[in-house]
Amino acid sequence: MRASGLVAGYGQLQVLWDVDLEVGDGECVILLGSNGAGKTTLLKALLGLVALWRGQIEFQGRRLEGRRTDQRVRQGIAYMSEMGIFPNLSIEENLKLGGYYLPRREVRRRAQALYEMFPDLVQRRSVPAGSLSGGQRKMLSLAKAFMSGPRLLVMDEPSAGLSPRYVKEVIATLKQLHSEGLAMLVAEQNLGFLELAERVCVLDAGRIRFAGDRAALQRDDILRRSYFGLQEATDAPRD
Amino acid sequence: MIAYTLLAGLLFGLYFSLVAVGLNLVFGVMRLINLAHGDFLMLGAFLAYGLYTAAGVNPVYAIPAEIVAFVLAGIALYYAVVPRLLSSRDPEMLSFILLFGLSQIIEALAVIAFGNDQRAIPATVFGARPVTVFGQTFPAAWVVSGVVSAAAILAVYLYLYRSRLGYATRAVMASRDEAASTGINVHRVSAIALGVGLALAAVAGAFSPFMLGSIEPDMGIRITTVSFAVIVIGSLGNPLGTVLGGLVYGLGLMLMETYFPSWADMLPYVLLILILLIRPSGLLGQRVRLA
Repeated sequence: MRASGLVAGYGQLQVLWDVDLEVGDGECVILLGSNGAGKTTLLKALLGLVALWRGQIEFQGRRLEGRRTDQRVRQGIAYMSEMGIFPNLSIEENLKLGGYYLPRREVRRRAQALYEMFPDLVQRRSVPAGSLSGGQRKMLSLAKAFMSGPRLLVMDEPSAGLSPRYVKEVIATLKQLHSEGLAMLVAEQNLGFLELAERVCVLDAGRIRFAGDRAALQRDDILRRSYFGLQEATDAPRD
Repeated sequence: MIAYTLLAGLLFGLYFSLVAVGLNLVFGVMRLINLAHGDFLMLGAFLAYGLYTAAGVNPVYAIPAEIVAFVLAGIALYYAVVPRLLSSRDPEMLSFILLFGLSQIIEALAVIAFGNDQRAIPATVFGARPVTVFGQTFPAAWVVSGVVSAAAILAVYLYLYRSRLGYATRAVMASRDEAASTGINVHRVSAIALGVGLALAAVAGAFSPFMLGSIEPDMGIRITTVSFAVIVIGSLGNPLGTVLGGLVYGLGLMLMETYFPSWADMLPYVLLILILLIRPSGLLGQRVRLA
């Protein structure tokens, strides 16, 4: 996916200012930024959930501006929002909806494969998703997003509201999916997710402040000290 | 006497569930109160009346025509109006104004087309003999209306809980954005829901000459008020909660008409105020609002 010159906002309020972003095939890009930096708006603009004022988005050689969100999803982009699930629907119904536009037999096959990957969900497949714990909801949300067999998985703060144990589980699951070739764009505040990243973008007040590989981020002393509050260079930034 | 009143209340309760369920479905999917709901019921009533007077068609056999006509009308209305409404800054207020205007236009056109006279279809269309239910005898039209209403509500249940389109409809009820980012064409699902909502109103309209006494072009606003009371009593936004609201309203109406007939017309307003004061989330409560 290649996005260039994105300008977007809500009503009269401009949130994104000429944002450029690229995620290559099979690449994992972590989008870092504090609350209010514009991460969610950027992801929503990529998905068509927030109207783009200006800019271009290209995915697999096709332009996405003007396409509906569901059309973008059908092209191979899955979105895991902070909500991520339909709390009023059962786990099984959530999974089925994840593959809404696929043939029924394919939906059954993929749901079976995902139940094997997320065994916690099997036992409770008929209960409302809203009754799950925060960690289980994230796993369901991930499984739902993965049902469509995406080429690019876009995630909005997958660690939000999770205990450290579940954050590790989410990271391990994403690592596995990424190793199978899935491209990912992950908006996060939790620096623990940097271990997944081939590239990192830092968004601040709606502008890309840094874009480069993880090593370059760690070498950028100003960014490390002023933005992340890190005191010394390490192989992997700490949370 | 009380057994008759309760059974009649059950039949009318099923009927009022059918009257209101479409309004609740549309509200659940679009978060808009369709103020023209009762006017679509009135149009359904006149369609059944027209088919009966022109060709002697029994209202039960008019149902397929009602469904096709109003599903198509709902889909067309959705694409003509709703996407623009939803993308406006204040969709709730705009929808109130727009749908109230639509209600007035439908009523005015109906007056031009049909005049102001009250119309009725003779109840003998379902046979001259009354029907006995649990030892109580009722007009055949009441029993047919109750059975058709129950069948329609079962169909709504199967649509929402046993079909792929229904899962998608409930997903849109939970969150339009989340549904769209799951790959669901939110506009298509909503347009069908509006079509289904109007078709349910029209089917209820086909039986209104028997359950409401007569039909006339200005009946729409009264029906919308009653429907709103029924869905608030059950649970706003939960189509199946409408059944509970309908039964409470139907039983209440029959009890009032039996014991305090001169007060019966106040019932929807009294119930509406009581529920809003005592239990604003409806009898089924918040937790099932999105079910």
